[in-house]
Amino acid sequence: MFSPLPAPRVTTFLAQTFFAPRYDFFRPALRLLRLASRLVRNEGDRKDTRPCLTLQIVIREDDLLVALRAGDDTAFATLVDTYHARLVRLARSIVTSREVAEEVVQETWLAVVRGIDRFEGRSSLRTWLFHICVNRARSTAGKESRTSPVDPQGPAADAGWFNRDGSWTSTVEPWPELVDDRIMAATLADHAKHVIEELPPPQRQVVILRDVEGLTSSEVCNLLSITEANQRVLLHRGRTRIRSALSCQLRGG
Amino acid sequence: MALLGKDLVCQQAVELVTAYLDDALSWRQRRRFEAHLRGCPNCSAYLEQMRATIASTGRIDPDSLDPEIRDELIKLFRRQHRR
Repeated sequence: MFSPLPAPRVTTFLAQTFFAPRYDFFRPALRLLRLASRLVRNEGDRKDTRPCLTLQIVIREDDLLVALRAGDDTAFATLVDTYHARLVRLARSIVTSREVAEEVVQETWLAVVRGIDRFEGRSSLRTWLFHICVNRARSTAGKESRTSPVDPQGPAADAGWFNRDGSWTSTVEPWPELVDDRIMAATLADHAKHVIEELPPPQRQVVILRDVEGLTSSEVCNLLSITEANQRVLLHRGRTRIRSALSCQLRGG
Repeated sequence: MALLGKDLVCQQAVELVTAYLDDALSWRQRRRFEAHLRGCPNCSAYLEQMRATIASTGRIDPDSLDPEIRDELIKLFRRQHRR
């Protein structure tokens, strides 16, 4: 019974594209998930956690919704695995502490569980989750945060980069090609994560939603109740700061 | 925006990068921006760096989920559904 094989790792991936297969892929996928989680549970006391088997299962949102409404807890677990940490990250950009953000997300899940029957599917499940989370976080953070973020004035770029005639003071060296360098790519992503944590909250919210989560600008404007122009200024400032930080990192400074 | 008629300088061009990538520039602004890039290796490199920045940000993984919290949430779901 105690073979040296490490436990299987199952990752689920929620389909958010229109390219998801039309056939019903969900039932066998769920069955596989249950089987795998049982395996993991049985082998839970093992120390070796290297995966002996990695399954990636793509689940369509429609199918997930049907299962959620039917009370399938594996479906809910998939939702939690996919979104919990991301919701905490989003909430953390609105409220003051990690603990409060965790509470906000707990409340979000409660609202999801209670409201799943009322969800009409007019937006994606993700957008719906983010909406609940942002609203909860804002009401927790207090009224002042509910007012739209104000445009910071002036350019995002450092005036010191340019001569008086507006041209660069020094050559902008192209960055090395990062596509093939996984370690470097991971290092930079990690660095970007830390820079984002230090951005002013409005910039941080927009950068997380646009560039980390990949929402469109209209989705973000809708979610945060800000104008396109405001959203773009905040995004531009955030990106400019991250670029500068990554540039320093790449120069080894 | 003070972009009428004159050629862009680098300091103005870098402020348009996000709008350019979002396809939010007017046709006129876009043409002027692209004309500047053609003649300016520095701003072209800057644009590529911004693209690489966005790609790096897109690679950020969420933190791992505390198994206790996960279990609690699943219990909550079960309780709610039994009602």
